[in-house]
This record gives sequence, structure tokens and C-alpha cells, in this order.
Amino acid sequence: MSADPGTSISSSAGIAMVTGAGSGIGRAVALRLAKEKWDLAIIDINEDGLQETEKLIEEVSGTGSSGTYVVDVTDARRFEAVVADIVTNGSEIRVLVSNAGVLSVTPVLELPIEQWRRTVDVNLTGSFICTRAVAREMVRAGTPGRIVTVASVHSVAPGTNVTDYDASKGGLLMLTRSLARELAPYGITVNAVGPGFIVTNLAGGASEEYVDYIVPRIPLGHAGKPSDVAGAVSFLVGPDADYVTGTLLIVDGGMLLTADL
Amino acid sequence: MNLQGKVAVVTGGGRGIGRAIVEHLAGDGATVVFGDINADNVRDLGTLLHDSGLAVEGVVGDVAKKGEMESVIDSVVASHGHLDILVNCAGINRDTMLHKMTDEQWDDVLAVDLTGAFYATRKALQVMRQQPTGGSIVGISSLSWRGSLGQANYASAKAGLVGLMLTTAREGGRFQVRANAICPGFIETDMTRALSQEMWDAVVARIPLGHAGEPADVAGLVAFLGSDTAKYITGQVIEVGGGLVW
Repeated sequence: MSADPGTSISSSAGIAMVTGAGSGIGRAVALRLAKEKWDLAIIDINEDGLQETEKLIEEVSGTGSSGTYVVDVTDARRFEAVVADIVTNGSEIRVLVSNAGVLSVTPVLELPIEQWRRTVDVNLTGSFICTRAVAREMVRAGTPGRIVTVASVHSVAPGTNVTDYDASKGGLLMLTRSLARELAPYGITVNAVGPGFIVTNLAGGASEEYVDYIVPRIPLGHAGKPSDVAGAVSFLVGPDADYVTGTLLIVDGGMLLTADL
Repeated sequence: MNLQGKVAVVTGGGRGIGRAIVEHLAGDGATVVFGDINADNVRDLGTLLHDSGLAVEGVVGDVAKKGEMESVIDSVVASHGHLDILVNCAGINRDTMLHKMTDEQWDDVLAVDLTGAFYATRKALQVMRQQPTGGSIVGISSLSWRGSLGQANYASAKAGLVGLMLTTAREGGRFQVRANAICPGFIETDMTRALSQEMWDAVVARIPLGHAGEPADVAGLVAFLGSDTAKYITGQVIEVGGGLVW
């Protein structure tokens, strides 16, 4: 490397991409970044959810996103075409929040291979596809960038009957740390956020029994909100995190200290 | 970060990382009372920030001295009505290889870096658990908690500080008192400037981002943890080291 590009970025400088922006944490992240004046490019496999997020972005920013893309993140060619489309008109991608993920609950002895493959494909390979495509573009453009993956407390502690999810999130943590190491010379920081028990479509589908079990075991005494995770993402892509890379920032109200997930 | 209306106490705020923390929290709108053992540092920083119109007050004190932190925090609460953020940043090092380390080198570092944090944290928790809004306690630990040549005392104290913060998180959670530890990596301060050029270069060569950090890098993370944006973050050990794996 001849010159050190540094890692400072600002929202006036380019595009923030968010995958899985059609609901839950992804939507909350998109809205938070929109409030911070980022130009958003939002991606989801679900068109209705995406359009709802787009409407909310318009309310926040007055102008709506720079682009909505209905994409399955496991489709590398399609995702790479989206990246190419975004930069065609001279825009630069400064931020990627790789958030798209799936969760279903099945005891491991009954877990079909197809479900394992789909979970790993979306949660881990999907993030590889998205981060690789965006990193290539950031390196080509020669400017600093921020990548945040949405991992989980399950990256570091096993849950109940979610073996495929646990493995995919564990893998996602190491993908994040490996990317941080390789992309550091280009001024790109890569970090993971680790949501705990957050009420979204996924955890909102948790059984009443699970809610009654887990919430009393969380030190702060309540579930988290998607906006709590969005706040952590905002920190990681902001000016106060220039020297933070390769980390897992857990947002769980202290749950890992005191609960079996 | 928006820290308007928040009252913060920072130990070891007179220089280095502590000073950067004081400046950043005050710049974000907090009222900051900082303590330091060095009267010149207290006077210089206090005057500088006060003249910039920031709500900052410096106190000369020794965190390791029994009763001192208790009386500083009592007086902060008497003046300002509440305490929202405590940052345990006071720290010294007395580096020697373990087989040659003296009892005094061990005792001195543990007294300031860990016991001092215990005194301050215990008092802050007593205050914060009575407040409906709870509070945020931050311990400035170090990547060296995982072991560091010539730093058996420092590493032990910094590891201990992690245990103290995580226990505080467990005990304080139900009162909305959050506690987290920050592990700075290799940050340019008086402490690290004391290393030989050879040792300095050897460490920097291992940092993925290619350079030492600045005190302001740590301060940014402290401000985040002290803010309402981080209200669901507790019991964490967060690194700010440019990717350095210690």
C-alpha cells in the first residue's frame, strides 16, 4: 500500500446499502441511517416489506432512498448486478450493512439437510456474497468504507433447537473478523453487531413460553428494540469508530451474562 | 453523541486517554467532573475547557486513597443532583518481568488501576441504583488483560477491571445501571511513548489498520456507551485497537 487512506467517512459522501431492509432490524437500520442523512440503497427478498420501508424513509428524509432492490442475497450474480447498477451513475458505496438472515427452530436430530443448507446459505454465504461484492467496489473506488454484519449473541453462545442458526452466526463472526484483517489496508473497517432478544418478526415469533423464560433472565429486564441495534450500527459507521475493526458489538441487555439462550 | 443534561465523573482525566474522554464528553454536552493526581494537569485542563465554555471541573485527588472517590462523588451529586456516567480511567503502570517484580510494583498498580476503580464504582452504583434513569459505568481496561510481557501487575489489574464491570452489570441491571469495559489496543499516550522505537514498530507492524490509535478513538466509544443510544448495551468488553489481536 502506497498511501494510508485512513478510515474516516461521512454521510455526505456516498451510499449506504442495507440488506434485509424490509423488516425488523434491517428496517430500523435503514431509517436510522436515513435520519443521519445517508443516501440509502435498500435490499430485501420481500417486495412488500421493502416498499413499506421505502415509505418510512420518505417520511424521515423527505426524498426516499436512492434505490430499492428485490434480491435474494444468495444470488451472487444478481447482487453483483445491483452493486454495478448503484455505481453506474457515479455513486460510491461507503457503507454496507449485511443483515439479511433467516431463523427457524428445529431440534438437531430432526433438522433436514435442506433447512441446514438454506440457513447457512442465507445467513453466512449471503453475507460473503454481499461483503465481497461491496468490498471489491470500495477497493476499486479507493476510498474508505464501513461494513457491518448483523451477527447475533448466537455467534458466541448456543441457543435451543437452532443448531443451523448458531453455526451460521458463528461462521458470520469469523467471516467478519477475517474480512476486517484483509480489508484494513484499504481503509475499510468491518465489525459485527450481535443482537440479543430483540422483538422483530423473527424473535416476535418466539413462543410465549420462551418470552416468559428469557425476559426475567435479562439483567435490564426487557427485550430490546430494533432501534437499539440500529444505534450500535450507527456508532460503527460513524466518525467515533474510525479505529474500531474486527469486533463484535453485542446489544443484549446483559443477557449473555446471565441466561442460557 | 448527545449527552446534554448528563453528569459525568472521569477518574484519571488529567492526561492521555482520560483527558480525551473529558474533552469528548464535555463537547457532547455533558457536565464533567474529572479527577487526577497531578495538580498541574488538573489546573491546565480545567482552565482550558472552562475557557471554551464547557461545563468542566477538575479535582485533585488519588483514586487509591480510601474515602476520596466517595467524597468526590458525594460532592458531584450535591452540586448537580445526579450522576449519570462514571468512567474509570485512572491507571498507572510499573513494568518489570514477573520474576523480578517487587511487591511494591504489584501493590501500586493494583491499588490505582483496580482498587481505585472498585471505590469509584461501588459509590457510583450506590447513587445510580436509587435513580430511576440508572446510569452508565465504563471501565477502561486494556487488550493487555490477556497477558503482556513485563506487565503481570497491569494485566492482572486490567483483567480484574473486566470482572468488576461485568459483575456490576449483573448486579446493576435491574436498576437500569449499565456497566461495560473497553479494551484499547495500542494507543499513543505518555505510557506507550515510553517504549523503545524498536518495540513500538514491532507492535504497529501487527496492527491491521497500520498505526497506533489516538486517545480520541477511545473517547468516541466512551461517549457512545454513556449515551442513551447504548441503553441496551451492558456487560460487554469492547475492543478499540484497529484490529490488533493481542
